[in-house]
Amino acid sequence: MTAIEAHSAQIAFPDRSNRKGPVTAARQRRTAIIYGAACLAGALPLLLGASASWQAAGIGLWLPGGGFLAVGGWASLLFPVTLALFVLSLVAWFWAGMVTAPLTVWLGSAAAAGLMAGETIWTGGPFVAVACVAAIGLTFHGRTLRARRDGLAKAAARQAFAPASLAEVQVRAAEIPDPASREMSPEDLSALRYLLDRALQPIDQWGGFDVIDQFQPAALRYQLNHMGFGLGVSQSAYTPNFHGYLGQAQRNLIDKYRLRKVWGYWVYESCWGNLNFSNWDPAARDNIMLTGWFGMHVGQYVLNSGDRRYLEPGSLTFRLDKTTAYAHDFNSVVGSVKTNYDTAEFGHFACEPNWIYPICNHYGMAALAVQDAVCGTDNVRRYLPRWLDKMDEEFTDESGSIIGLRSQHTGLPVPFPVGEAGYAPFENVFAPERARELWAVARREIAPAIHDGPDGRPRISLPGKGLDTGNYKSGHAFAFAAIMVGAREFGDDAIAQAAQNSLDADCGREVSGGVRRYVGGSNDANAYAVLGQLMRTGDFRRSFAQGPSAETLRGPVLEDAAYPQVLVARAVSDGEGLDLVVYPGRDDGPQTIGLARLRPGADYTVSGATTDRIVASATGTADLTVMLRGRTAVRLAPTV
Amino acid sequence: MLACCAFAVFLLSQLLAPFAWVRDRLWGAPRAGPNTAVTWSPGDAAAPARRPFRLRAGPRRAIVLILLLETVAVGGSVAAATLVARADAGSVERRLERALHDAVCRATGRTPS
Repeated sequence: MTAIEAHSAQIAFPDRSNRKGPVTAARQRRTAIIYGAACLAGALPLLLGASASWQAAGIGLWLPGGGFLAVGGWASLLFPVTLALFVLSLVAWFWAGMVTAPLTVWLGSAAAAGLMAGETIWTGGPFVAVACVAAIGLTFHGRTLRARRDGLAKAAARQAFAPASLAEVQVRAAEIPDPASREMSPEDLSALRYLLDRALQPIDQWGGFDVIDQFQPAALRYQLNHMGFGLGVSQSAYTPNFHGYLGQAQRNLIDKYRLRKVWGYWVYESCWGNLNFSNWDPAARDNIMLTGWFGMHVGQYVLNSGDRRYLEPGSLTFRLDKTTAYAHDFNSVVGSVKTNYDTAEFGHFACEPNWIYPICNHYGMAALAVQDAVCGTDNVRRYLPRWLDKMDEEFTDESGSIIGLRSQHTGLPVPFPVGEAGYAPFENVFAPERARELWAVARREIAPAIHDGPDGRPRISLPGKGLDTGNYKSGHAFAFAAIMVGAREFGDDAIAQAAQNSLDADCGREVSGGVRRYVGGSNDANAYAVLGQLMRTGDFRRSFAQGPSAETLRGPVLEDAAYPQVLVARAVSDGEGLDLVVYPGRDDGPQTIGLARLRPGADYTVSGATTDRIVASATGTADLTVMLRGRTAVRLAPTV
Repeated sequence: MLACCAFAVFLLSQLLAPFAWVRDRLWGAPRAGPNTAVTWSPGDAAAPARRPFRLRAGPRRAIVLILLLETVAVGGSVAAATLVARADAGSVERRLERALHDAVCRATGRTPS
């Protein structure tokens, strides 16, 4: 018996399979009562022998367009048209939180039917309407029963394999890379340049971004966040003592995020989703897709760089126009997440008005965790227990999986394709034990898709054409990148490598001008692929929940280096000296770099540069010329 | 996986699927070219130019599509008009309608007309 097998025998994998939480049940009851009342009200004109107009309008309350069946004749053709329009209105509801859209179509079509009715209604109309309602209801009921049955079977299967899988995860996740030997490889740097090129352009320029819509997954805000995560992990894991263009790139992304082009969607969603026509503060009610994600992003920068400028009041102001601005900072953005959690009946709150996504609430809880790391708050202790309880109660299905999406108003769940692999790295930031359980399930369910490719290297084959949520086109680039991020975080190198191989083989890998990219994927998928490329075991968690040591944050920094001439693969201080590894980004030759946070006036011994000694200025700065030729290691230490 | 609402994309794609099917049959499935945003480099223009919309196939296929739509529209109208004309007093449709009408009247206590 191996150590892992012995360990797995002692593991009890929790069975979280669940049916319906109390808040969900109450909302669904309320929805059923409202619908029942609408049906009853709709039947009254028929039962009381009211005018044909009232009868048609009443039948229109039973289902969208049902009134047109009562009008009869050619008007009946409006029934399928209205149903199609209703489905489109549901898309608008999903897409942009347009709560008013389905209501307008439903009630509007009932009113229109009332206006179109003649002397009498078509006698078959009520019967056909009832038959349609019954057919739709039975279809959904059947699907629910099937999903429940399949979910229970899945839960049983998971109980069989999960303990052994979890034992393996626990062993692998404990193998943390040695910080002393970490540096980015040329391939890592080539991937990182993809982010730096985009982030270092002027704030109001969007070269290299997918600019499609600002409501859904291809929105600029998500691209900015994921690019920020990649840069943040690079700083946390490899270059905590490099500020220079890496810091500039991160701040540029944060500044871009505050442009109205990025967050202005909230003006519209507030109006048509919350009927709020005056206060469009993006960090107030709902909108965890902004506050949670942006909170994580900014907090990660503050934590790993030690730059606390975004803690200043007004440092993250969202300007609407010349006269209106919403003043925020890191703490007020995260504060909005907490305020919403304080009053959230579901224990989780909405992105777009009405739609609660557990994945965005993972970002929200991670934002609270990073505030703990930055400011010493105790958010996780205060908020996590209820958050987890509600996750288990209200957002977990029969299989034990997290329900991807739930309507806050109706309580109804909606299928949404986020799996355990997607949640696990985020949960690892604030609940590592549970995160390992998620990954233990994910890795075993991914395993059957791994096979040897034509070149003999392991690959992942995913079904269908796939969907790249970063540009709504077909392709598996984002899925491969997400699997890689999950696998890296838990030390599952074989799965990570298979995902990397699949990206390389299937998603159009190109290296141009020293920059690696996947031309078959979206910008967002590329950003996520960079994150996966750079990560090693536990890096995601450390970059949000731990950050560099106090010594590292106190020590000398590389403050100035030319981009892309000087590529920084390692920049780490023990509090006194500085270890650098740099590469030429263009040609070999001399490059001058600027150092800061040295001890004012102190002597430093240097190796790997054109001089072996420097003296820091009265402000603790110094310049150093380095002859770049391939991998160039530079070491700086106070002269004893 | 990524953020909010790939389901909306899925839903929309299902709605558009029949149109995509017709398009694929007529013009062939669009080739997935490289993403111009991803191939961007700092020296390039700030925003990638949109590709101008044009039909890849010749006008013959466009005419076929228009004729197909016209045929469906005209054919549907003729069929509907024929059905209405046939709905005389003795037809099955008329008898079914009358039976349903009487049932409603009995249920609501009104006198059948």
